[in-house]
Amino acid sequence: MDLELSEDQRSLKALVADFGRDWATSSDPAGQTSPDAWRRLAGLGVFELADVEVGTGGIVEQVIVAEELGRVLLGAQYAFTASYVVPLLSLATDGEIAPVILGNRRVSFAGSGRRVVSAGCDLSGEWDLVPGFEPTDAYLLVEDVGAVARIWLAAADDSGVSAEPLHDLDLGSTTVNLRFCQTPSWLVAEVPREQLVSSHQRARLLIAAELIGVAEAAIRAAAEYAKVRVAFGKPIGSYQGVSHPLAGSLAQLEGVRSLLYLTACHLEADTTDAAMLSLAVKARAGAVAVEATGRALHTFGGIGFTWEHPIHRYHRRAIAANATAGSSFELGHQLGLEALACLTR
Amino acid sequence: MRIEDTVEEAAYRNRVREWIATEGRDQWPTAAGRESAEERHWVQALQGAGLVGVTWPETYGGQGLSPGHEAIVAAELAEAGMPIPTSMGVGLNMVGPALLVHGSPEQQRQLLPAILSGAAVWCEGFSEPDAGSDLAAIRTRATSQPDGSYRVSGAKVWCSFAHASDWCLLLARTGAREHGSRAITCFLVPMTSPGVSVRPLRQITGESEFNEVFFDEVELPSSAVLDGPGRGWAVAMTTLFYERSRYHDQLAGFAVNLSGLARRVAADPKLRDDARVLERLAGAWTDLQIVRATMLRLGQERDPGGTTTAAGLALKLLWTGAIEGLTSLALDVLGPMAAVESSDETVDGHSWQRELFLAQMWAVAGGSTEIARSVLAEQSLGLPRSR
Repeated sequence: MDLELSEDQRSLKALVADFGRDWATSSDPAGQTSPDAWRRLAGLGVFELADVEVGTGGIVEQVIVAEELGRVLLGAQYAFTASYVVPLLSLATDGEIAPVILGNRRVSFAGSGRRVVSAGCDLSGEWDLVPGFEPTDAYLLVEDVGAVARIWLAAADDSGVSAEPLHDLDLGSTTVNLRFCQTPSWLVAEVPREQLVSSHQRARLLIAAELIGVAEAAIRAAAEYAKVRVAFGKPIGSYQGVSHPLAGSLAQLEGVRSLLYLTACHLEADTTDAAMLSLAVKARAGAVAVEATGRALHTFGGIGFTWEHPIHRYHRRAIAANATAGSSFELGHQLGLEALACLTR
Repeated sequence: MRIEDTVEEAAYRNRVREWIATEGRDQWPTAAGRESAEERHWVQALQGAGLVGVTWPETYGGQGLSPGHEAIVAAELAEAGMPIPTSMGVGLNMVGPALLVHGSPEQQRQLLPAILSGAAVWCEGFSEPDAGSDLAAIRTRATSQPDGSYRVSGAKVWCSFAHASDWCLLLARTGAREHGSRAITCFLVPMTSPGVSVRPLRQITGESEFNEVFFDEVELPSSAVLDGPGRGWAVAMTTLFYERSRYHDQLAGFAVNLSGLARRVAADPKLRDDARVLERLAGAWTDLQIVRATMLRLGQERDPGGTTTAAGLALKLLWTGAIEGLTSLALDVLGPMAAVESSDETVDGHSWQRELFLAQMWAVAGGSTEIARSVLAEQSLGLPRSR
């Protein structure tokens, strides 16, 4: 038993970290991931990790990628692509998956919606709060038919698609309310609904990883500022009122990172504990990251809550990612019920 | 990264389990008659089975195995509720490892086998009435004599199990106060030395595990110095590193207590439908997994010579937070019963109130929460010293 990164995993971490630094210095401050940046990310091979056809496992590697991308606020679309789009499209028999893995095609995952019906190849329905790319090439949608989930793919530029953009808190995300009216779509696969459960678990795990990256970057940025900002004749980082909240958050983050690795191993080994652990890691990562980025922002004083400094983007991202795929508030309750059942069994 | 044992580890785990279930069960001191002699006997039995000093060299009675094997033994003993007694843990888990790092070959030969056989119980003589968090401010003084020997005078406090100990790992000042931690030397002191006296202290739990220890002109040979004059601070840091990195037994107790609490909640409709209770129960379950996983992550990190990683420094804070969360939930759930101590609720039949008091102890033991945060701020975030 060990939770150490292997040498290959450490090189992957360094590779993605390099990419992230490069991206962070050259990126558009508005925060949207351009199609070109996405292609370069895909060029690192990060989506091959999620392709069940290519190889089994790879979950620990995905966690490493998500955490590193989180540090430069580039994680928003990665988790959904790796958890849903790649595994579900790889079920298709023809070559739909190849352009996704190469980063040439950006597919947004809409999940299950309301009033979803299909007639032949025409799909209608409503999907709210769909996190996606800007621009997006296609949508991947779920139609629930009893115990079966039909996975549909539709081109985003079809005239039957209406995507109403919402006002995103996170500047790197594009959330839309999606409406399909007899939109020509392509049936990718029909799978038992339980098959989506592992994707849900993976999404929670990867967003938790991203949150850890986001929060640690914010805490470290705040610590750098606390070393140079002087008040009452000393750097503010020498005051425990400033340093202890940052250190406390760092300790919490290290704890969630341990849980992250443990959960990744359990998902990879497909154990019975994986379900509860994936709830726990997302719930805790969300709560810890929102608090940590808030503390980081506070450390910057007045400039922290202006657009003069980018620290607010970390807090925005943490709040948005906590709200995605089950917040700490929702999952905490669900985990409580499951823990009660499990502990008294 | 893997959660499964290797084939070799699995076979080792099975052997450990088998011993625990058979011979171990027979030799485990019953709760009613537990006292120092029985605890020593238990350590002796463990040594017979090769379950103490797992990573120590074979020349000193150890097994020469990996930290992974040690983790297996610790986890299995804890799981069976048959841990290394706390009194023996000071020698086995803190002083022994420090001797392996800092001791001379003669000191190791002389002292390590007796720790493994249960013949020697150790205590720490670190804190003083006027030096706790600021350990470098200790006043106990060791004055060197013309013949190279030392005379030690001073008072130590919070010395766990000193009343039952054979040896003390003592920190004393051998240079000027202005030189702070650079003028501290560590001594290996037999508790039977003339001039050593012990006064037990009653703790908040009602038990007397703590002591004050007084040194009045205690004579020590130069061979009692560990790792050279002025090297005491390094020894103390190693010892504290080990003190802060092992919570196997505590975690096993935590898991039992958490299940007990869950049963109480499940039996009461008002509690089991209360969202606040469920959320805090989820938090306690998550804390348990987090501390477990962090210990697993640190499993290979056994060299205190280097800088301790952020995860290593965080572990103490995580454990303290976990135990505080669980015990405060338990007291809230008890309602009016929280004012009355009753037994058989928790592991070993102790009261929840005792567990709560122990949580408060953990927030101070091995360096207070505040000191841990300061060290983390300095070492892992590079922030300036606050003192």
